[in-house]
Amino acid sequence: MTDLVLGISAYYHDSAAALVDGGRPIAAAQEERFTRRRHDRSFPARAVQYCLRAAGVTLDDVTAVAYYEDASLKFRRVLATYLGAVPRGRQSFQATLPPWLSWKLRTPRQVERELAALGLGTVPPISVRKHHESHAASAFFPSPYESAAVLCIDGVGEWATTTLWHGRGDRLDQLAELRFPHSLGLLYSAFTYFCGFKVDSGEYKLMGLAPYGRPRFADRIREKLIDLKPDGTFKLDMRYFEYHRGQVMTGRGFERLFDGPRRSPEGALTEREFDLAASVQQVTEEVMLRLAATARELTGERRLCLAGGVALNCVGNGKLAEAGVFDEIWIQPAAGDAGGALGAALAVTAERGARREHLATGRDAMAGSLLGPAYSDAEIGAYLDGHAIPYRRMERDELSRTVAEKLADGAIVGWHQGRMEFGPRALGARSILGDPRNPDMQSTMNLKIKFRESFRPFAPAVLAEHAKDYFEINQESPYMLLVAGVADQHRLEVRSGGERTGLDLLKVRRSTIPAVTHVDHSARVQTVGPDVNPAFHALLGAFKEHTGCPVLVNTSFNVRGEPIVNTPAEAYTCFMRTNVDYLVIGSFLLDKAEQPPWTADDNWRTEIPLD
Amino acid sequence: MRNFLLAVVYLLVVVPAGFVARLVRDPLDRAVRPEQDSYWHYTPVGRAAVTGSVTR
Repeated sequence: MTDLVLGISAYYHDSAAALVDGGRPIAAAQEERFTRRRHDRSFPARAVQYCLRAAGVTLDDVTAVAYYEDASLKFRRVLATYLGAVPRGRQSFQATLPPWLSWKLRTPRQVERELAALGLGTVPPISVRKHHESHAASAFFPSPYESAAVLCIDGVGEWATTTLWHGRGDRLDQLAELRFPHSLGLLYSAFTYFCGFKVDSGEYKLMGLAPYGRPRFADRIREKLIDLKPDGTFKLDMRYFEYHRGQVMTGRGFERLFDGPRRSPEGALTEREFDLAASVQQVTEEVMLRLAATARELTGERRLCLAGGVALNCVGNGKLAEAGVFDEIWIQPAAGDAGGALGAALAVTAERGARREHLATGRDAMAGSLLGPAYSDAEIGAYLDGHAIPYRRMERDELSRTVAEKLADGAIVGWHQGRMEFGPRALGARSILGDPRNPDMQSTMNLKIKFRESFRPFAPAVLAEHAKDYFEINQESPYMLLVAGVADQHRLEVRSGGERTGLDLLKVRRSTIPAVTHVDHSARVQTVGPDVNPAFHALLGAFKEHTGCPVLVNTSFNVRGEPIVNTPAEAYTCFMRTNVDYLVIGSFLLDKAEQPPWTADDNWRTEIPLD
Repeated sequence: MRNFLLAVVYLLVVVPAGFVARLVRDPLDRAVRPEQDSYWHYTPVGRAAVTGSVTR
């Protein structure tokens, strides 16, 4: 260990901790994976404990703690927002001022106290970074690029909502920013809210909904809501929004503009929500494309790094890649606020002169984003034996072959291997897998496995060497953050369906891999190489060998509203609660048909809050 | 009681201060500016990213 820095993001949403050794991420995890509360905002005590345990160190060995945003600067923005919103905003003032005065303003002290309470050694000095600096550092320093333009787009941190940076070698310079309340992330969140989904959680549902609609509101958004300049910078017309003066996103002006009140959560989805989603998605892509063109022009770089919550808009990312503004794009897999923990730590190590040694390998420094806890076969075996759970233990080749055959026979498999992913996506370490050629797979997985909305698409994991055979993609997408079209040779002629709209579009088979083909022939691609996750690569290879198809459905190992599973026990519980047919944990294969009846918690679905 | 005090502070301090602040300059810079080509706030040259402060 050379220079250990612990990064922390907390107290807003998706709290996380990350440990960096001389500029190299060695452990990172979101707190929700341990506490089992989705998007947990509390101090990431268990994530910190995990990171230190993974490195075999205590706080005495850590030279600095990096916190991902500047609370005092954020408070000044909150005060300015109160002043700007008068005479409205009293309720927001009464609700949010007390916690700011009682502890939020002194967040570094709070972090220090919570770390000290862990009893893991002396708390080192705490370095406060800016929110977008943390995002930018998380995007550039671990990227595989010697130099790049860096764009960070999110809701808001302190003041900045969009920032443009230039990364060169070990240096990262900010060039320009847009400020609150003018925020692309908050515009998207406003539509998320208006369509009845949860803010800071349901944005990806809105993105998944967009292909079902027509962008008939896009011109209205451009005319009324956003003043967009040719360089991608913009201002929002705040008369239509409420987030700067209340605790909701939109109000009556928004309702008048978009033909009625917001959809109630869990209410029926109508043509209007499909069209609103399509419209705001189109405008978002337009802004992203213009900002990217400006980034290219101002930096002269041919490569782009992205972070911030909007960088999780993989449809927009795919449009950027397709447009060819940049030769290549690299997106931080934990692009949201969880990644701020990592970025803050990387900013500190960069300041101290850490070298980006991974550049010599030509690969990024994220290790496939597999930075979370792992469980050895000895630990897994002890758990299974301790609970008298029947299993078969296999060598990797036999396991890959057997699982591939079962997938090809239509089975759905829970797949728990190695280190857990850092970031929102399951990338083949905590995944549920299926056969993408099966036309019933999407509805089966949505309704019987994930217990979620039928419109939600699934993503394909594809052997990297065959990605171009199946998808219109010109670069690697190891973190499932680029959407690309299914290749022409795998598209099917749609004989009927031209007149279908909305969710009826789901009933049309569009490709040879229908379970991962969205209604607009797009797919959220994960390319899988042999290096970072050999077990998953081997499974895809075995499936290709058995079926000729190098693609699997890859969805996160959880049910709706629940964080992705972490431990073998959580994987087993999820396996038994759902209609997953087989579970693979390490070298162990479990067959649902051989398991004892599951009677532990009949009411579990009522205990998990909907997302 | 706390809510009452906060409401008083809001009405007697924040509201007047907000109106005065907006007479001078909108704290949220809401005005659309058709004459401008861009809304960027450019960062002064030489201000690098690594600008955090060590608190203790």
